[in-house]
Amino acid sequence: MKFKVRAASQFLDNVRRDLTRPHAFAFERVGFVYAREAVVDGGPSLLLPFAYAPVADAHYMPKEGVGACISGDAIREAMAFILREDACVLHTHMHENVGMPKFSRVDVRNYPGVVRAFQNTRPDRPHGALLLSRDAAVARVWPVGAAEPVMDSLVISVGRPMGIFSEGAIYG
Amino acid sequence: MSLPKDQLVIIKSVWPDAQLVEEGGKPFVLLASVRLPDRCTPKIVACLICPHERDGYPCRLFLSERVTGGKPVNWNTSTAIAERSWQAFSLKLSNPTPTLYDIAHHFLGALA
Amino acid sequence: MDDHSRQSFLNPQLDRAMKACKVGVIGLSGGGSHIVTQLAHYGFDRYVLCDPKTTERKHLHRMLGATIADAEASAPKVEVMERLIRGLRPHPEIQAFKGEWISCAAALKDCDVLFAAVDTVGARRDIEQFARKYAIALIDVGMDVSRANDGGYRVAGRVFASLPGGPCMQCAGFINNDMLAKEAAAYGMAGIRPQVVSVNGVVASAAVLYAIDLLTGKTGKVALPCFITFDAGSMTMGPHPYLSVVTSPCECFSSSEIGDARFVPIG
Repeated sequence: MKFKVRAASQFLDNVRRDLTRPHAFAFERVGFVYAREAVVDGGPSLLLPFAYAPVADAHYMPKEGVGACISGDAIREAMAFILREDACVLHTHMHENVGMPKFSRVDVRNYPGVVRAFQNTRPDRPHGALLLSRDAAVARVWPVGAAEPVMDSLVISVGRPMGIFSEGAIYG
Repeated sequence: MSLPKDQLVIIKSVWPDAQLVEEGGKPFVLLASVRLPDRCTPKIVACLICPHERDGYPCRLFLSERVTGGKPVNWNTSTAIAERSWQAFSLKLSNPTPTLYDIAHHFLGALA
Repeated sequence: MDDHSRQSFLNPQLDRAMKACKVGVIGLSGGGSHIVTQLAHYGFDRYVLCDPKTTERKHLHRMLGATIADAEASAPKVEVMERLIRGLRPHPEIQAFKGEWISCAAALKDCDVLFAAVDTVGARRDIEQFARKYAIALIDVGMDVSRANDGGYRVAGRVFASLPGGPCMQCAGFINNDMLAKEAAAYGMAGIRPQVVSVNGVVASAAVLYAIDLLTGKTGKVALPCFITFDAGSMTMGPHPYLSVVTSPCECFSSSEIGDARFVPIG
């Protein structure tokens, strides 16, 4: 099972704008991108972002050694949304470099727990993580019921210019 | 999806498999299996009640296939809604505010 | 081994983009056959093709790649285009559907760029709605022949690029409810739809260039018009005058309409 996350570049730029707002003490911001899953004939599963919710300032907690630590309430708000809207969710943050972003070791260590919470809430949908840079993006998506993510998901930013990204590669 | 509940209850009582469909931000009602008189081909079609303006018509009924053997109608539209192709014939209802049932009843009556 | 050295100035990563980007072409005759031919020459490798028709003699004056033998054998247009691509690309991935575009919607959803070369306003409306639902970049081409005031003919082509969030065909005044109503009222009376191979070629070239620009960002921040017209009489191409009244962002489609239609049982 492969995944393709395809979104309007305007949508991703709006998310970038939100994630670059400074926070009182956190070094980076976190948000949730909500997506609809579409069934594709002979291709990857398509995830189509349709909404974004930033984590509220009050849901950040001080923690050494990480860019941002968010509370259980923030996760619970995302869980409530996907339950209500029958949606997939991508935990989203941004590294402020140009070019391909790379998931950090902290990201890789923490995602399984967060994704498990989403899988428990909405087990019939894939969930995962989206990492943005200033001009690119990568995603890791956990298929339904999977303990491990699919590594070579594509992220397509549709606009002018278009971007086609997968971990380690920029197309276009 | 905002369609009057009382009208949906009536639709459900006549076509128990009726479903609401949201496409392009607008609501439709899908009747998955509507039986037509024996003289019609096919005898069973899916119908999509379109209670809002489309193609210059204030409301329409879309069918999964063009029907032959019924009353003569002017099939004038092929379209795509909810990842499926649909056919429609030309008919404007005299009632400016028809209920969902009115739409289905009058269009099906005009056809067979 | 591909040798695209003469187009490498476009973007060093264009080759990889063309391998990753899935393109769809709806309608494979006058406009579509030019588009497919150019995409294959550029080096695109992943296609969804659809057209319900078979090749006839009358198509030979405008359909690139079609032969007399294809017309005599009533070869499906999708097969002609598939053969053309395979003659230019060593390992293309082609999904070819002989049918109406909606019959292969489940495959078209995977396309990142979709070209539409269709005849009717209703089909344009439906395809654009489909493209918006799946966040696909849609590039529509077409041509018209109309009577000019001097009694002659005015031959014009146009390209409309509909990107998610950008102006749509209704915003730009390219299609409207009156046109849809008139088309429905006149259904079956369209008569012949004149096509001129060279005008098709001009607008198809502009459409493919637009797609290459999307993938390479070659023109950078220069604003490209989304609605381009070609007037064969004056040999000029430029932004459509309607663009001056376009409202942006598009208010016709909202992000909540993204994805497959939703079915909800009643009661």
